[in-house]
Amino acid sequence: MVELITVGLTPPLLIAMAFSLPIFTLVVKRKLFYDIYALVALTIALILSLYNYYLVFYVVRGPIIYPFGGWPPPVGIVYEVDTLSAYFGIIVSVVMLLIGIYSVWYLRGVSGYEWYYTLLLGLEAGMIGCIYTGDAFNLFVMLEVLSVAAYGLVAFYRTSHEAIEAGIKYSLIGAVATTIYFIALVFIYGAFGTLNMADIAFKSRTASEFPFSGVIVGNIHLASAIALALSMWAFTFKAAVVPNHFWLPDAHPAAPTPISAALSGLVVKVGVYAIIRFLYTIYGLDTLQPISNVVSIMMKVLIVLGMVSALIASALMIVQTDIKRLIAYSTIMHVGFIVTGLSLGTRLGLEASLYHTINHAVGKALLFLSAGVLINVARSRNIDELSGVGRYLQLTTLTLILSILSLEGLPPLAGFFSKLLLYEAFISSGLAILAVVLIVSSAFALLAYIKLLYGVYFKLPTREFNKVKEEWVYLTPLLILTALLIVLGITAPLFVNEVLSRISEELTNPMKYIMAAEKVIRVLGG
Amino acid sequence: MVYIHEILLAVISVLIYPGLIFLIVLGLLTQWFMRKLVGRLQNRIGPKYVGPLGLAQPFADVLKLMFVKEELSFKGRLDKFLAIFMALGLGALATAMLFTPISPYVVKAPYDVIVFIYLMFWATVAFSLIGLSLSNPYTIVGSSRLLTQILFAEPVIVISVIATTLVLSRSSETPLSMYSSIVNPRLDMLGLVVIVLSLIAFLLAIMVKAMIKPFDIPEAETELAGGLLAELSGPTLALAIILHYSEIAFLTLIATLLFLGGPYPLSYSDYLGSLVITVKYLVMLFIITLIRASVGRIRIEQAASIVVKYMLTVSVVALIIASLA
Amino acid sequence: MDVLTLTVFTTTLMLLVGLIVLISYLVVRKEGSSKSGSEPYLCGESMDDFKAYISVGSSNLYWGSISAILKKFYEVLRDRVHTGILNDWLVLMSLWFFTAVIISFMVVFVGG
Repeated sequence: MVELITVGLTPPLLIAMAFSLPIFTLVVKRKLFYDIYALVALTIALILSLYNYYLVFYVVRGPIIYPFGGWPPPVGIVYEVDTLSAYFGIIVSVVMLLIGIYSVWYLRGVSGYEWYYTLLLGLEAGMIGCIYTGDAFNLFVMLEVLSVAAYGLVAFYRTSHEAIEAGIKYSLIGAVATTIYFIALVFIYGAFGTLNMADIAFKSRTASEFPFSGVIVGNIHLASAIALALSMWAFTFKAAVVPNHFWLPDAHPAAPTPISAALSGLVVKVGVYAIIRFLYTIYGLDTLQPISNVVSIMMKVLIVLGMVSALIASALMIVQTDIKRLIAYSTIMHVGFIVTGLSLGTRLGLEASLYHTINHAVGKALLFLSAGVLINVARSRNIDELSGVGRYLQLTTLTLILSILSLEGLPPLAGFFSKLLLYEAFISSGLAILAVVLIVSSAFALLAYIKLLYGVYFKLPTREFNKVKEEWVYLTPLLILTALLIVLGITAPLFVNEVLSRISEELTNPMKYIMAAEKVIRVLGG
Repeated sequence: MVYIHEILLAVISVLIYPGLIFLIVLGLLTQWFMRKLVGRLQNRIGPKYVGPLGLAQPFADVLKLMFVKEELSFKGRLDKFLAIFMALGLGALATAMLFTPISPYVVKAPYDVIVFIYLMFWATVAFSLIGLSLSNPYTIVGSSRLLTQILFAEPVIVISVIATTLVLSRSSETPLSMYSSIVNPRLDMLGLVVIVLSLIAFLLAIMVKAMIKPFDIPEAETELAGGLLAELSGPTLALAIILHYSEIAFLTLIATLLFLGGPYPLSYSDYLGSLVITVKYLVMLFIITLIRASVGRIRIEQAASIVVKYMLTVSVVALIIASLA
Repeated sequence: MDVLTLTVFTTTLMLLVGLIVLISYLVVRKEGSSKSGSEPYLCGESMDDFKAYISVGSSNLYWGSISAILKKFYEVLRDRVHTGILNDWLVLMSLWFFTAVIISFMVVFVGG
């Protein structure tokens, strides 16, 4: 069936295209070929994810499943795409395509572009794989694919000490983190006898028999507790929540700018996605007794960590002299908001953090990309040396300003609406102190963004810049992202009711997820 | 759905009363009141000659700046950029007035206080960019000090407003709405405590945010050669002055409506109610100006510690009390 | 109306008012013509070369205010927590790790 293939096609296709790219380097030496090759791959991924979204939200109105090799779950690996996965999939593929277009301009004069594109396609393959998968072990595999591509891209500038050091630190701790997640999987398998997400979700709620995998085989309470603790640690590393955030301010500035946009805007969101999957679908507040207590304690801890994240990152933003490091700390702050929102346990909190996810992805990507243009012209990342560059690149600076306004949360841009929902979620859960932290961090962030704006635009240039004309190659993704920011803001009422409330409803009520898997088993298993 | 006559009423409200024109006039009259009062308290006369009692003095100043003075233009001026932000800031303040019951067209929804706060925030952002737009180190330092003051004062204002609306509108069908906190609020012991605490914090925070002595650090005239607005001239300076005093008028008016109960003990439908509001408004201005005329300027570190010790803690306490309800 | 539609509506009004103010500003404004040679001097330097534009550096923008007030706070945060040394990071990260494991153990055994 055509619809099922689109679910499972994207990661293998992207990986195949990524791995065959180096083969072409033996024959084709022109950069344009690889630009088009990568853009074609990214466009195909976009079309597939749009189609999946359409299927999940409007045609099937439920999760769609692709069993690899025809093996039913939990015997084989399945990709199960529900509303949450389809939503994240669209965010990833749209932003990645725009980053790809930008990379065409960025890589001019950079050697090693063929490896860049290979790793870029591998990065997207890993992200889509993590998001679409319905099997916890496959999540581990895709997480490794994603991480390896990310490590390579962070250390892309092989001659820069900073990049190598950042890459080493990122990869060392990242390897530890994914191993910790693997240990969590060992515990899960030992107790549940299965690694399929729908299966674990079923067993953690009813502890009865699931087709093919039978009953539970061990003490699921203790195993789940340990597995939750370990996997939360691993995912808070991926999502850069304090105290697992230390790698981010080193890794994101050192990477090439479009990759920084992908890392800040998308890769950390995969960590957020994994947290949501574990806290709402696989385990949840409606699971059996000790497990739901563990879940609720983990959520409370995540609230605290998220808020501490936001405060620390916003305070550190102000004192940075490297423009990309300033933006990287802003990412930590926003992810802190997102994690706090989803850890409230309410539907409103989920909607708020999902909305904030897409607004932050678009806004942060726009901020990094427009800052990247300015950095390229000024040939420096230091704020002092960037003085006045914006005056020569008016349109780029306009998009920079709009992204700053959206990230700060000023209406009518998209960032305001998600902040509004966050306030609503915090106050209606009775935790008004969270609103205080939100305000204080936003105040700190305002100062930092104004410092950025001052350095880039207000200050008159203190040295000569080559006068450059703005080019359409990079203006196109910038303008599209800006348009997205405005559209996401203006269509907020529609967006919340049509999209977000359906996702939050499915998440707080995971029966559909489990039923979909069961249906496939009945069809395939005979 | 909103119909044509409603849209028309909304546009007229936001442009004339209580929107743009009303706010500008109120702001300039506020400037007159403060200048006259400071003058009298310091044994001077204050504005006297232009108009009755010198009432038209601020208007004359602004009009002179707009129509008579030329703008000095030199390299690298960002006047139009600033003007866009300042215009949006004024627009935001004018629109925020629609959330209050003195407006013929009222907007209300649950949690609309957050929208209200962020509209206020636009004016703050606009004003803080002014001194940064020219490479005069004095104005830049002035702006950076203003931003630091905003960093400390803005949370106080936001928390006070949220705490008060949280506790006053908790039993209405639109919780955390400006309108339902002002009209028919749920007033009990708890509410009164929150109101008093928030009022004190808010009033002092107005002084910090609006750079009124003792917090006029960004405007330090002798230290910073004219301070924040030093490089502006002509219509841009007029716009900045209008924005500044409109902000002061706006904040004081909101304080009067939200914390002092508006026309209490009369009601909003009573014509004498506006007289009561005016009296309460002038009382608040009087307190602010009294403090302004009596103390000297303090340093930024002292200001920060005062804000955190006396205003931030007070408003956070108010919020905690409010959320216990 | 609900709060999201309210926001869209009020920001449209805000943009409308802003537009009107901006147009009135542009109409009223008379740009003074500056003849070359009579351009104002900025802090004693002529505006023709780049040296005149050196003013407060962006990295020092908040030097007087934030750094003075929050000096101790940043000392702790920047120099002792965010050192950049991997070993320090691992101390804090393992702290979170063991806290998570201990908490989940406690919930299972004590909470029952």
